[in-house]
Amino acid sequence: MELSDAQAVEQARNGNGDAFRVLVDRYGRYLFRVAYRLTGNEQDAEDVVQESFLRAFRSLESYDGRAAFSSWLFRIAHNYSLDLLRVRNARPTASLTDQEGEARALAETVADGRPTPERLASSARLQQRLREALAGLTEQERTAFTMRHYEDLPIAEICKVLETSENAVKHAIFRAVRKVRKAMVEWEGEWAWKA
Amino acid sequence: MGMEGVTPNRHLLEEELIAHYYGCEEPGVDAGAHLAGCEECRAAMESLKRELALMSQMETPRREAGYEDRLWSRLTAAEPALAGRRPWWSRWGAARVWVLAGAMAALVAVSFLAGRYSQGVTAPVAGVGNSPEAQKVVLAAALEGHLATSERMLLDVVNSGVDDAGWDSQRVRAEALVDANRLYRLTAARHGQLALAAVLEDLERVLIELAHAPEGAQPAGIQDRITDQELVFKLRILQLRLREQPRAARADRKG
Repeated sequence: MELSDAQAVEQARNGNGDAFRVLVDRYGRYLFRVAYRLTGNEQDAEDVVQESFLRAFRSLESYDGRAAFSSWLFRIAHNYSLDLLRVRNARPTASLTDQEGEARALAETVADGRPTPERLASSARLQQRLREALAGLTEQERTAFTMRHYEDLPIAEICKVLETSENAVKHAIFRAVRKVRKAMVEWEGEWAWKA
Repeated sequence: MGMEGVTPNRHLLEEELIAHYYGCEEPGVDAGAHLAGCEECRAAMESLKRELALMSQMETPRREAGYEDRLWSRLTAAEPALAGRRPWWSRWGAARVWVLAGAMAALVAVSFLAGRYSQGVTAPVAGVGNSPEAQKVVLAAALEGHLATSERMLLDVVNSGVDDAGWDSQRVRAEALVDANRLYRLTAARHGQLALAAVLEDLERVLIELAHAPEGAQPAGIQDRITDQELVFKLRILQLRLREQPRAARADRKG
C-alpha cells in the first residue's frame, strides 16, 4: 500500500531512507517546477531542489504536521531560494538591447494583427517575457503568486509557507497581479511601436 | 478590501476582481452578483482572465525520465544517512533493473553463441518455440539490444555540442548501461569471445567515463576517443553479425 506523506515522514524519522525516497519521488518534479519559478534559473532550481530535500531530511524532527508536508517543503525551498538570490544578488534582468530584440521578434510574430494570447504564447520570446514578469516581483509576491496561480494552493496554506497573515498573502497576490498586468501592457506598447 | 456584506453598487475594484478570480473574496462581498448585472465589470473581468491565462503559459524546463533516480543519487551522495536501508532493486531504479535483466538473459545468449563458435556445430532444429535454436535467437536479440542502445547513446554523445544541456541525461544513460556491459564483457571473455570482449571493454571505458563525469560537464576529449576507436562502427558490425546468426544457422542446416 502506498505510504501517505505522514507515514513516510514518520518512517523516515526512524531512519528509513526508503520512506524518504517516497517523498522525493512524489515531490521532486513539483519542487523543481516551483523552484524554477522562484529563481528563474534552471541550475539554481536544481540546487534549490537538492538543498530543500536535504534540509527537510535533516530537520524532520521539527516538522510538526500542522501544515501539509508539501507546504513545509515549499517553505524550505522558499527560504533557500531567498538565500540563494540574496547571495548572488542576481535577479534576471534583460538589457535594453535584449528588450529591443524581443520587441522586434514579438512584432514579427504578430505582424498581421493584434497579438492574441494564443499566438503570443507560441513565441519563445514570450517565455522570456513571462520569466521577466515573475522576476520583476518581490520574493514574497513571487512566492505567493506562484503558489496561488500555478500550484493552486489555498490562501491558508500559503500563509503557513510564508508565515504571515491571510491579509498579507492576499495583498502580495494583488500586487503581483498588478505588476504582471502592467508588464503585459508594456509589451503591447512595444509591439505597437514596432509594428 | 470591498464592502462588508453587500453586493457593491459601484464598479468593482481591481483587487476585488483579482480576489474573485482566485476565490478569496472578503466575506460578504458578492462580486459574482455584481458581475452578472454590470457589463463594464464583466469586460474588465474577461480582460483579467485573458492576461492571467497568458501567465499560465509560462513553461518550466522538462526533467528527463529517471530524474528522481538522479536526484536521489545526489541526495544520498550528500547525505549518507539517506542510503543503506533500501532494498537492492529499489536502489537500482526501474531502468537499471530492466537493463540488468537483459544482461542476465544475454549472459545465456553469449554462452550459446560461444558454444556455437567454438564447436562449429549447429544443432538441428526440430521446430520453433522452446527449442535451443529459438532460444538462441531470442537471447541474441537481448545482446543486440544492448549494443543498439549503446550505439544510439554514443551517437548522441558524438553529436552533442560542448555546451549542450543534455550531458546530464547522457550521464544517467551511461550509468544504466555500465553494469550490464560488464556482465556481457566478462561472459564473452570467459567463453573465449575475445573480439567481442575487446569491443565491450572499449565501450565500458567510455561508459564509465561518461557515468562519472561531473554534472553538466562534457568529459574532455570523449567525442574524439569514441571517433578514433571507431566504436560506433564496431558496435554496428557486432549487431549485424548477431542479426546474421539465424540466417547462418538456417544455411548450415540446408547445406
